[in-house]
Amino acid sequence: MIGRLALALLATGIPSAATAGPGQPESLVAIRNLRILPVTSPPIEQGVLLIRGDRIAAAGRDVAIPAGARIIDGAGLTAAPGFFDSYTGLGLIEVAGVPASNDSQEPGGVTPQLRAVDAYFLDSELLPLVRNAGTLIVLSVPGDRNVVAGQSALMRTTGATVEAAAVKEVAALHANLGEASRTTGFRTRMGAVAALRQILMQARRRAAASDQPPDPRLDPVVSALRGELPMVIRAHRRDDILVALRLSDEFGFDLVIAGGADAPLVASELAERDVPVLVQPDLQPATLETAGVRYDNAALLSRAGVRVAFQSNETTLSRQLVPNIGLAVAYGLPHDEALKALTLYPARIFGVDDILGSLDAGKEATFFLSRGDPLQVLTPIVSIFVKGREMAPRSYQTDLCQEFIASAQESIPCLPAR
Amino acid sequence: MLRARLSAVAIALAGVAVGASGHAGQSRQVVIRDATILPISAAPLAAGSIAFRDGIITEVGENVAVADDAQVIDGAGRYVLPGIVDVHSHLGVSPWPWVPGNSDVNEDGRDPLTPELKVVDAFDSSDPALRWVAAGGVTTIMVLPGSANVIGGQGAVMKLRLGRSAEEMLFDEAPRILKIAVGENPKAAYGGRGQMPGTRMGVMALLRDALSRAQAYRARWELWEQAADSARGEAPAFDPKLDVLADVLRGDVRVHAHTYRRDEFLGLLRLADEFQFELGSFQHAMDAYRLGPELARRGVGVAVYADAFGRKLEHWDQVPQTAAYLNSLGALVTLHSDFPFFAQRLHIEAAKLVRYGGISEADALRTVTLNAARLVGVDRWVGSLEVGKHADVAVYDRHPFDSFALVQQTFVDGRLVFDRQRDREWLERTP
Repeated sequence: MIGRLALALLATGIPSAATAGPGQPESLVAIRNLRILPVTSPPIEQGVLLIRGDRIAAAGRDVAIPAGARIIDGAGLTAAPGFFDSYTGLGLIEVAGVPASNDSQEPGGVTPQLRAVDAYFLDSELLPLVRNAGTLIVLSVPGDRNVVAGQSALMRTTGATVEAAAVKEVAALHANLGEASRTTGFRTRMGAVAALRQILMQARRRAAASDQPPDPRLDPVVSALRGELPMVIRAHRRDDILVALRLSDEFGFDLVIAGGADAPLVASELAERDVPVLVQPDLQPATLETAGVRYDNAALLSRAGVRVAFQSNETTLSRQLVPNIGLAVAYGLPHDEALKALTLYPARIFGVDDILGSLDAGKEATFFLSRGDPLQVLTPIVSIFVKGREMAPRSYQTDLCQEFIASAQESIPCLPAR
Repeated sequence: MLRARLSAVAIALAGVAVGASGHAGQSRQVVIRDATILPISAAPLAAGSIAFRDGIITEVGENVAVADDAQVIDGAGRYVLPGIVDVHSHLGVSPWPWVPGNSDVNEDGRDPLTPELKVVDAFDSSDPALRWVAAGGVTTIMVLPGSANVIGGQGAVMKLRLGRSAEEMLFDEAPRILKIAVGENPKAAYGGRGQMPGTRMGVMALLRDALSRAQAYRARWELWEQAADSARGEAPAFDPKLDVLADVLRGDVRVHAHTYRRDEFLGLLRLADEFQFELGSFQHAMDAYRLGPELARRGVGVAVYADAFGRKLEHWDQVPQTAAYLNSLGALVTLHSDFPFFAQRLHIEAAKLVRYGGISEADALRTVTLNAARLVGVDRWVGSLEVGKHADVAVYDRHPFDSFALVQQTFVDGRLVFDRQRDREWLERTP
């Protein structure tokens, strides 16, 4: 079995850099006859997307294609910016049930010193799978249980090195309220919040003092208090969300709510403070703290002026994020808002909208081509570009399909046809 | 209080059960007119109608006779399909909210062989998730015990007659069911305590031992039953476990096996040959694509996820083309849910087969309707829109493979159990 895993890993290949080395000309690619979803402006029909090196040089209807450009015919295809999955265990969890391949949920209860980037498994077999589903950027979260779980990394789903894959090696500090803390040694919500408040107070004292030696445990909390790092707090019940708001008011950190089953009940408070919510579109009212969740959460929050981004809080099921967003649209979230909640809004929330989140000239060429509306489950994704480098939608699963199915039944497609 | 909160939410999410009392709409003819009808057993009708009365479909066609007192539903722009049959559900035995006091799915830790257990004895017909999945167009579910025990117990086929008791929800015509489980789950539930099974060998040894004892038990009883009255001594001792397994050996109970790997499939097929019992399906069946022709030849049902996988090592090698491939070989393939969320979105799960496996739309829909009914053994009554079958009908506002599609109405036995419009009105009246 492990042998199979290793083989499949080799087969998926190691990406090489798209940018040219010194002295070499930058690659130039023009995709024409293409429907472009720039996200920041209305869709462009019959457009041209011009990619120079790892950047978008132009996106529009009347773009002159320079001589020497490699031309791709985009007839029937749609280009969309790489989707963000704004809260996942990807990179940290491979086979969840195999401890050797699971680096999420460090014991300890209060562990701000943890950094997801230190364990991000670049060769994860799951990364090609989510990439092939259009998710090109993930917030890799150290865990959804510890009261303070550590620092997430905003990562591309491919890269020659961890540093090259990283959009932000440290993207946010994470805390968890509600039922989760019960698995980490706290028996009550009071206990968990007291621990969170205690470390916030320690960090506040430290922030006020000068000439302190480095402290890997407190420094990230200090960064959050200084507004250098947003604090993502996972909270579902209305009172848990209100605790997060109170702490944010008291300590002055930039708050982002993750989960937020009851968030629509406090939408005006969230909107007033401009606190975004990372919505999990398939969240079920299956537990006590999520009993209030509704499929129209994203629509209700968006209507109330709350910024929303989508997340799976998943690993192996992360590729289902986009099909599940169909529910948010069916329950009233406008289609273009759903698209933005996968692209521009998370880019803004995590402060990377200068390079990602839309298909505008000057931004990174990290996008995908689909045959139809990328929010539709039936729409195949036929090609992926990360920093200008094109990748075929292969994975260990398409390799297994080739080996066992295509060899026996030619009519079954293992890869979507471009 | 908690239940009240959950119920309110389940309604808000998914639907209030309407007409829960009485048989409203049953004796009165219901006609859904001018809709796209996807009967599954026949070609789609672009502008068709369906009529039902007394819980039974009476007509499907371009034009149907409408009784004077009929309730006529305008189906313009709507898609009408048979209710979805979910062949792997734990609804009712793992009801919301998921707190320890509510979990009745695994009687594990003492004896890995518990054929005497019956899910109907623990089925909570007030589980809010039942309403939730009815709002996803599901009308029939095969409820199975969990997979911690090697022989988990007797499942039940239920119809989503919301508001009724567990007994009233039973699909009376359905065959009896026994759930067995091999692989990692029973190994994890027992091996860690130093008890058998700790290996796949142990799992198979336990099954073989139980079936051998059942064989002897059955022989004892048959000998006693066949003996002349004068020669008949005291009846053999009744054994609640072996009695169920003896019924399995008699062919009175269909066995559904939770299994992922092909070596397990082959082991179970050997066991079925050795003891001559009916293997209804392999559930989860991840490796089915590695054993396609053999599974098609044997006729054993194959129930898989569309593209979910990977919590465990034994579920890592899933490929989303499995169902399409098995279908192309003529095997009996279905999708299953295993979780409430997938259960509510089985029509979207079926769409994934088209996307990943290039299967035809009709065949994809069959994996959650007619094939599923066959696997369970209820295809004479449900799984397609045919005259004489149960009026289990779901009405969608868009094609069921459209990501933005929602079920608007669900009928079970001709009774409206979910209506999105009334649902909305209910919500708007609620602060």
